[in-house]
Formats: sequence, C-alpha cells, structure tokens
Amino acid sequence: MIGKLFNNRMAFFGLTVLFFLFILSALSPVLAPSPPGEQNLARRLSPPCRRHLMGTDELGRDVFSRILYGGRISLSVGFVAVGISLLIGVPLGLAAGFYGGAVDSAVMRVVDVMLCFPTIFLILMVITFLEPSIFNVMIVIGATSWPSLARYVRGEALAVREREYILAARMMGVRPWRILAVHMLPNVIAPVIITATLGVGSAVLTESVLSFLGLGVQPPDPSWGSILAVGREYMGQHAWWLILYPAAAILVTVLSFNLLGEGLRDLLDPRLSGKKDDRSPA
Amino acid sequence: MLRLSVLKVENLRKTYSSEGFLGTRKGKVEALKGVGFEIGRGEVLALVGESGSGKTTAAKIICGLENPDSGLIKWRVSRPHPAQMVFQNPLYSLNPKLSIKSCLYEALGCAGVPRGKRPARASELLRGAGLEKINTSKYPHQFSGGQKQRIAILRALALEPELLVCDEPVSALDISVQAQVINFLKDINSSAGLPIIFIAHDLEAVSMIADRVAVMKEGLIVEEGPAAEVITSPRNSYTRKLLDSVPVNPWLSKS
Amino acid sequence: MTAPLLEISNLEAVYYTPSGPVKALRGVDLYVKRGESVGVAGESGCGKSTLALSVLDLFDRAEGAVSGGRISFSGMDLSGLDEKQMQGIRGKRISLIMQDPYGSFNPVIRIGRQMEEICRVHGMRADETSETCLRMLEEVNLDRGVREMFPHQLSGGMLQRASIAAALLNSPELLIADEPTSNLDVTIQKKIIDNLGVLRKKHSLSLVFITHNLNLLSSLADRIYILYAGQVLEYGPAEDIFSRPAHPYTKGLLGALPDIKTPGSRIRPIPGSVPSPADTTPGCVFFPRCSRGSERCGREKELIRVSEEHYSRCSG
Repeated sequence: MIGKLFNNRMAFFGLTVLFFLFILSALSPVLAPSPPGEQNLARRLSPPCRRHLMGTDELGRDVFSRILYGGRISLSVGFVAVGISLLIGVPLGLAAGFYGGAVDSAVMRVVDVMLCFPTIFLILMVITFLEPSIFNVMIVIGATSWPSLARYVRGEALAVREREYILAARMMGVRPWRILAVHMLPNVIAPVIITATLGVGSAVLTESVLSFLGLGVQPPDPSWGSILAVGREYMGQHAWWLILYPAAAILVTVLSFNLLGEGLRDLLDPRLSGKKDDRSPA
Repeated sequence: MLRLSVLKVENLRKTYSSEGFLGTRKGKVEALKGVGFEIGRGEVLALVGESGSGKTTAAKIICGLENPDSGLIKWRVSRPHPAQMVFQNPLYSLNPKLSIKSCLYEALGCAGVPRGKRPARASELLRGAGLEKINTSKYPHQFSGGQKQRIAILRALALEPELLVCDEPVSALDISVQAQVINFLKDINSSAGLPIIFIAHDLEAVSMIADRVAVMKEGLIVEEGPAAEVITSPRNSYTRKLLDSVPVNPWLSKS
Repeated sequence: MTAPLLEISNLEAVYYTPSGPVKALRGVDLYVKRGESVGVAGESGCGKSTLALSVLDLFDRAEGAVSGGRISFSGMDLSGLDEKQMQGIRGKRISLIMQDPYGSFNPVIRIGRQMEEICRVHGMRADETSETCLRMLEEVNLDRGVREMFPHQLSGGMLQRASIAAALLNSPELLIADEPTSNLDVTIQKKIIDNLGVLRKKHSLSLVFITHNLNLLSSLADRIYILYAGQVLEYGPAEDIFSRPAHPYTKGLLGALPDIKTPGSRIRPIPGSVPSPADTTPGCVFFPRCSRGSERCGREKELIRVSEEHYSRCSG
C-alpha cells in the first residue's frame, strides 16, 4: 500500500513537502541562524539580506528563525487538535451508528446543536473566556471539530453495521466492544483518515487566524499568524517580508496536507473519487 | 420412523412497516404470514422462493437476528446461539480487514476453544474443506468467491452449531463454482449429521442437495415434501412454474 | 460464407493497474453472422465483460483500453473510429444491455423521457419517438404507465425489460447482452430469455449473449464460444459444444453444471480457480487445472479444426 502512495502524484508531492517541513521544524534549533527571541533593535524591520534570509521584524528578530520555530508550533497544534477531535468524535460516532436508538439520538442532538454555531464564532467565544495559549488553542480547535467528524463516522458506521460479517460476529456471540474495535473500526477508518489529514491543514489555518487576531499563540512565541499580524501593522512601511513569508509558509503547509488527503482519498476510497467499486474486471 | 427434531418452527409471523417522508407510515409489508416447519438431525431442508417470499426473514428469525411478531421456535437443545448462518454475498461475508487466520481463531474463541488449541483446530477445519494449503495470513479479497464461501462455512462450523442456515450461498457464484460449495455442504451434512437449511431462489441448485423442499410464496409455504417428489411431480401451480423456469439443457447427460 | 456482421480479430485489451498494464483479452477471434445468436460462456475473470466493453469502446480512459486487434462491423473498422462516430453506432446500430439495470438508467429522470432522448439523439423525428417508445414497451410486456416512473420504482426484472426496450428503440442490427439475467429471479429470467428469443426473430436481430451459465445458452445460442483467461478455448455450433465438446475445460464446465433431471446426483467442480489476468505463464492457460496435462501443454496452443465450424485449442 505504501508503494501505491508513491505512485499517486498528488499524495507523493504532499507527502514529500510535509516530510521536508517536518525535518525543518525538528531541526530548527540547528538550522536557525539565531534564537527566535533574540532582539536587535538596531536592525529592526530590515529587508531580506544575506544575514537575515527573510529580513527582521519590529524588534529586530530574525524572521527566518521565527518562521522555522513557528512551524513547530503550527504543526503540533494541527496534530494535537485533530488528535483530540478523533479521540472524541470517532468513538461517539461509532457508538451512535452501531447502537442506534437512545445513544444515537443523544449524540446526534449534541452534534446538531454544536454544528449550529459557525466554528470560528464558537472558537472565539471559548477563547475569550479562557486564556489565550497554545494549549488552549489545541483544545478549542479539537473540541469544536469533533461534531462533524462524529457525524461522518456515524454515517459510515450505519452502512457497515448491516454488513454480513457484522451479523456473523453478532451471531457468534462476539462481545460488542470487540465488534466495534475489530470489525467496525477498521472498516470505517479509511474516510476518517482522509478527513483527519485534511483536518490538520484546516487546524493549522485556524491557529494562524487566532494568532493573527492575538488570541492564539502569545508573544514572544513565534507563530506564522502573529508574524502576519505584525506585517499588517507595518504595511505602511512596506515590510513585505513580514507578510509574504508567513503567508507562504501557511499556504505550503495547508496545501500539502490537502494534497496528501486527496491522494489518500484516491487510494483508500475508490467510491469517493468517482471510480468503480472494487469488482475485478471480468 | 422416529425422527429427532432439531428445530421446530410454528406459525411464524413478521410484518415490517416502512416509514415514509417525515415519519409518516408508508406501508406495511407482511413478510411472514404463518410459516411452520420442522428439521431433524442429518436433514437438508430447502426453502425455495423468489424475492418477497419471506425466506430471508425466516432465516434471520431462526438465527436470532430478528424477532418474530408471533409464533413458536422450539430447539431440541437450548444454548445461546444454536444456529449459524452462511450469507449470500461472498464480498462481505468475511471482514475484509481480518486475515483468515484471525477470522477462524475468533470464531473458535467464541466457541470456547482455548488459545493454544486454536491453530490445530483451524487446520482441521481447513482440511475438511480441502483448503489446507491456503495461506491463512492472507485476506479475503485474495481468495476466489468459492473459496470465500467455504471459509465462511468453516467459520460457522467452528462454533459447532445445531443447525446451519445457508442463505442463497451459491447465488452469487458462477454456476461452475457452485459445485465446490454444494459438495462441501453435502459432505458436512453426511459426515457430521449437521442439519442444513438451504435457502435458494430456484430449484436447480436445490436439486443437488436437498432431502426435503418447502416452496415459499409471499410469506407462506405453498408446498412441502421430499425433494425428489416436489421436483419431479409438483402439486402446486407455483412450484410447477418455478420448475418450468429452470433452463433445461437438452444435451446435458450425466455419465 | 457471406461476410459476418461482426468480426473480431486477435483482440487484445488491457487494464491499468498500479503494477502495470494487465492483459484481460489475449488475442480473441469471434464472429457473428447476420441474424445469428452467439453465446459467450466463461467464469468470472475470463474477460467476457471486457469483450463487451471493447466492441463499443466503453472503457474508462484511466482504467483500460483495447490494445491490439481489429473489430469490424458491417465491413467498417470500429477501431479506427473517433468518439463522435462511435456515439453514432452505440444505441443505433449496436446496443448493449448490462447486468445491473439500475446502472443503465439515470435515477432522477423518468424512464419515458430517457427513452425518448435515446430516440431523438439518433435522429428520430419528434412525432415518432412517443409511438416508438410505446411500441417497444409493449413488446417487452411492460405497461405503458412505466414511462412515467422512475427507475427505482420498478423491480429488477421490470427495469431490465425496460433496458431491453430502450436498447431496441432504434432497431439496431446487433444486441450485446452482458449477463442480463444474473441478478434476477428465475421465473423472471425465463420470461426475459423467452422474450429475447421472440424479439430476435421479429427484428432480425443478431445477438451476443454473455453468461457464466451454459445451461442458459442451450435454448438461446446458435453458436457458442468458450472463453477462459482472455482466450477463446473452443467454439462451435451449440449442439457440438454440448454433445461433443473437445476441450478439457469445456468438458469440465459441462460436468460442473447442475442437472435438475437427476436430483441428488453429485456434480464435479473443476479443481482450482481461474488464474489472475496478471499471470503470464506461457503455454496452455488451462494446464494448471487440467486433469490431462502433458509436456505438449507448455507450448502455445492454436485453434484446430474439430469439425465444420467447430474449433478447439485442444482435443483433450
């Protein structure tokens, strides 16, 4: 299956770029020319040059270093947030789809209510009550994205529940938890992986927006969104490097996750990509 | 002749009501209108009927997957899951994400076979189906339809059921492959004395394996009797119609 | 012999898989005379559906294609036609009906409208379409009310009859039927097959009937081709194939057929399974499962004449 991943151009491209981003983030302490917090007021707001590849910000800090460290933050927020939404959404969706009845109604009512609010609105509401911090951002994004995931998983679970191998398991006396874990989950997981991959990209974007608004990562921690915020402040002084580089970083990251997700969709779910089902040509 | 009844079913009724738009009642379907039959040790009873005859509903009720609205189900032996089922579609009969080995071990586990004894017992089962040479670490999609159905039968046998219910087990297979599965079922039936309810939509497949045949139409049994009798001299007009529908091959001769 | 209506020579077709193209058809020769009914029999995976798709070039570009050989229809080379020209043939001179009738119709458009569109697209005059549709529905024993229905409102059998009606609207010369009755109840199956026989005679239709069930072909086919692993192993008049089969595979297929006249008898399946299309071992394709193999079988086998119009790759 990994072999097939390499054959799909989109997925391969996305995967390669992400791999590259990972390495950069992981090795930021090594690769960054200067610590991201190191200020040098004499050199504030200077355009890219040999010493500062991406210029400096309003406090003279090296933008390149801050972009590198910002990557760490964005990627970890993305993954943890999606992780939280999976941890809540998948079990609830599975249970709702499999058990039906009261369980289904209860879970779906909560989902329906939460989906009534526009996500950003919900997030902003919660964040203004909590203290803005990386940790809270992760929790809030995770907690607001599980409902649509749960609904999706429930749909898949409803389809799988009637399949003959599930009936067979019930007739053999397999315990419900085992039916959910061994029989339902693996057969439901493919679209979930795709959604989760796309979700990471979306979480990165959301974190950037929050940080841009000052509600996410707080100074002096670097975040692509907060660098962008500074760039906006100093637009009058034509500090284009403070807008271009963080925006490019966000774009490349989110795009790669989307490409990977689309590639995975072609791979894992022939149905979704519009191809015929897996009947062999006869 | 004294015949020990493994299962006796009397006057089974089941109605499904379908929901229309916004929860309004759209219509009721009377799937079973009072069906009764008996099956004894070592017997193969065929339930033959077209779509809408209620045969699948009867099967699900016997296997405990659905509850009847009324009627009696009497088993000779009382145990939690006396019947096991083999399904029509080989595509989804087996969990595509489980290897054959895991699948069989799980079934054996449900039957109470201790972990250490499972490999031996699984090999024994596979040998009985002529499948001892297959690689059990492989997944269902790597096997042919006939092989998958035989494995599905083995999964059912692992639980040593009182009765095996086969719901159109060969309908989705090529006619040339049906023999593989039917012969296997015949062997199990004669060697272990396991009673089988064989559900089919035509008399052709049934003629190869059934001892007795019950013809179902729209929720009722319209004719029942020994297979040879029902097939060669049917009394009911619907049975005769079913018989006439079997493509007769004038050149087919058995040596 | 007058030129056949359809002549397929050395047809090769491939499917694209992640591990490279895989040959589903390996040099198939087949012909259909005018007014004739030809049966193509084979197990799943032998390439019979691929054959149907090849004639009308209905491959999904990304999934597969014809890779060699020639398809000639009424003297015209079909392989040389572009898509627009093929559209003029499909539904007008050659029609196709498939196993799943629900896949042949658009679920959100009424059947009558779809049928009328088929008429109009091929140039029928507007005032004639309605009458033609009614007539065809009658010929397949469907009530005229069917025109107002949506596909999901009909049973499988009724919808399949509707697709036969749709296929015959423009009086095609050739009808290809790919396992049209495999999903249907037996009584419906018989009705449809009898109906096809009547329609054939009435419209002087040539028929290619593809199926895995040889028993069905006993009443329907004039000549039969036996397809296995993308190759024709034997072909000949129906009577020859059934009563004097030459190829061990054909004999095996016949021996595996259930016979309702002798209930309770034991049928003999062919051991093993159909090879995967990716298997390119040289020599006779049936050798691994054959009970009569020898060293001769390692070489490619040609079709040899058994009797008038009866050819086989092996005389067993």
